[in-house]
Amino acid sequence: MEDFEAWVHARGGALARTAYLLTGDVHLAEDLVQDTLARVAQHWRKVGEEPDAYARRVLHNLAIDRWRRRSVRPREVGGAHPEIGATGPDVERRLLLRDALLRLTPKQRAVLSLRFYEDLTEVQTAAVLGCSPNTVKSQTRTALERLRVLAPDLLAELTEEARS
Amino acid sequence: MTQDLHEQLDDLVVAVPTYVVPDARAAWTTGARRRTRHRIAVGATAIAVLAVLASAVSWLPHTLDPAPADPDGAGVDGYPTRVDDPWLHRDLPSQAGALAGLVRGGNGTVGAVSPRGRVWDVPQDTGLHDFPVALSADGTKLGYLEADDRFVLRDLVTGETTVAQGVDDGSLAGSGSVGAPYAVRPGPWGYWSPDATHLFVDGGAVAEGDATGALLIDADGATTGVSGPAMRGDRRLSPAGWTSDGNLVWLAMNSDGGTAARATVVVTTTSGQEVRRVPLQLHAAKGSSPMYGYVSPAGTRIVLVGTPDVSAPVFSLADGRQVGEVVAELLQCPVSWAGESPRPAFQGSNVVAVRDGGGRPLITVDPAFGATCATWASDALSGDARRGVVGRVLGSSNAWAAWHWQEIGLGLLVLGVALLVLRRRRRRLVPTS
Repeated sequence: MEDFEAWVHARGGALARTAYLLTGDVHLAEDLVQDTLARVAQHWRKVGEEPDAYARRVLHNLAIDRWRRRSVRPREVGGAHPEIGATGPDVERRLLLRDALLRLTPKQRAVLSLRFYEDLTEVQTAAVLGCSPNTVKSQTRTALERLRVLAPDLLAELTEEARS
Repeated sequence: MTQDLHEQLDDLVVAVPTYVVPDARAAWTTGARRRTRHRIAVGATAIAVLAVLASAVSWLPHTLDPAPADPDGAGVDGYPTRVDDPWLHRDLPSQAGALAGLVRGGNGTVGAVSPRGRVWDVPQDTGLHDFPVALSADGTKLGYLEADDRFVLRDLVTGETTVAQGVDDGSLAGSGSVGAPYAVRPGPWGYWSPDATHLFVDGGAVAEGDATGALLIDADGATTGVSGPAMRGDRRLSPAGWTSDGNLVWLAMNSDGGTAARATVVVTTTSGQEVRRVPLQLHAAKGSSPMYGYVSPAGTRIVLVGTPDVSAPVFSLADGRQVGEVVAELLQCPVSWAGESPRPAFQGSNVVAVRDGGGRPLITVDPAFGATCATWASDALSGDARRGVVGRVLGSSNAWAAWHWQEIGLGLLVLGVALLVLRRRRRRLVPTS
């Protein structure tokens, strides 16, 4: 258990950040991270020396599964978002990006997270999500197009080619 | 706004770890609990699947059973190690194939047991369960009283049924009604000839003054009354079997003072003509009348059953000397033979079983039968044990779970499915936030 705790201590922050990208809410992110950690703990011996890859796969797939299994839409988390900041142009930009991300499908969010935050290739992203690289490519294209529509000022100059 | 998306995303989540703090200890506890639950579920599922598979095998239609013996008359060549009481009792089909043995249940019904332990009911009217049911040494022929006026001989390979002519249970005798000329007597089970063409059963003629001592029924259903050998004094004669050359073996016991002090084996032809007699050298005046004798398949030995101390002496039919002794505590239960070695049934912990020469159980019968007797074709006991998967796993275990593994497996399967359904329903009903 000690090695598991040490691993959580080292990687917990990164998992929390990715979970936030996938959920857009600190409470949902905390639930997602905790559930992911429980899965990793369950298979800790089998996971062996690559817990990061396994945790990444569980985290992204759990986020998609939770959305699929939901019986009602997740409640809108209104009010303050201390994790984003108090006031200022940076806060507005973050809120805009967060809201735009939340209007994507979970799979599109997962693809963006893996491709543009975790910096994985299309093939690696496809392996994590259990789909084909072509699906990743099309999901990425759709997600970026949608982001450009939802947040035109924010991502006007961003092109998919810039990342590929 | 030329920031790379990576940087924008990084900027969005930079402060998140301050507000999302994972609890490693709680996660480990949850993971360990899930691991344990998973192992239990896997184990239970494996047991349930095994149980269902084994049940399916034992419940497969008769057409999927091992092929019956061929019409040339190939008989049984093995025996089951465990005989389970079936959930659903069915009558013995016409072409069941050679049987390994018979089990008499607590309610008097007789179960026919296949070499793999499948059990069918021998169809008999109620009230006839004390009358003889005889299985040939090769397990292919069965003779029994099906109704009070109908004694049948069944060929279990061809499916042919022959009704014995002129034989009933004797219930009409003396009632003024016209019954059959011969009647079988309740008591010891019948004896098939070595070639399974004739059945030798205890019985007699209904007419008064007739000296018929037993009945001989051939495969065509023709019945002949056979006069027992002439004996001096107050002797009780009963059929005991056959010699290898097709002669009848009778056991004559004196009944002086209600004890059996002297016993004589008399061999006659099928027409009743005496061939030889062999006095058995009983060591002491032992036993209470009646005693029953059972001759070995090759006709070289006889075992006497009925002593109060449950010991059953084995005698040579060549010179009458005692050559051995076995424990036979079920007095009304025929002794089975494996070759020329007697294999009496014994009863312990509500289970009837048969042991080998070393005292190890060969066949164990489910206590649910309430069995009072089990007798086995000698060819079956001379063959191989048919253990199957269940027999290999459970051996001769008489534990409650060993006889109810199907119910336990089914229960676990139902429980597993119910838990799975509940879990899925709960997942559907509980919102993610």
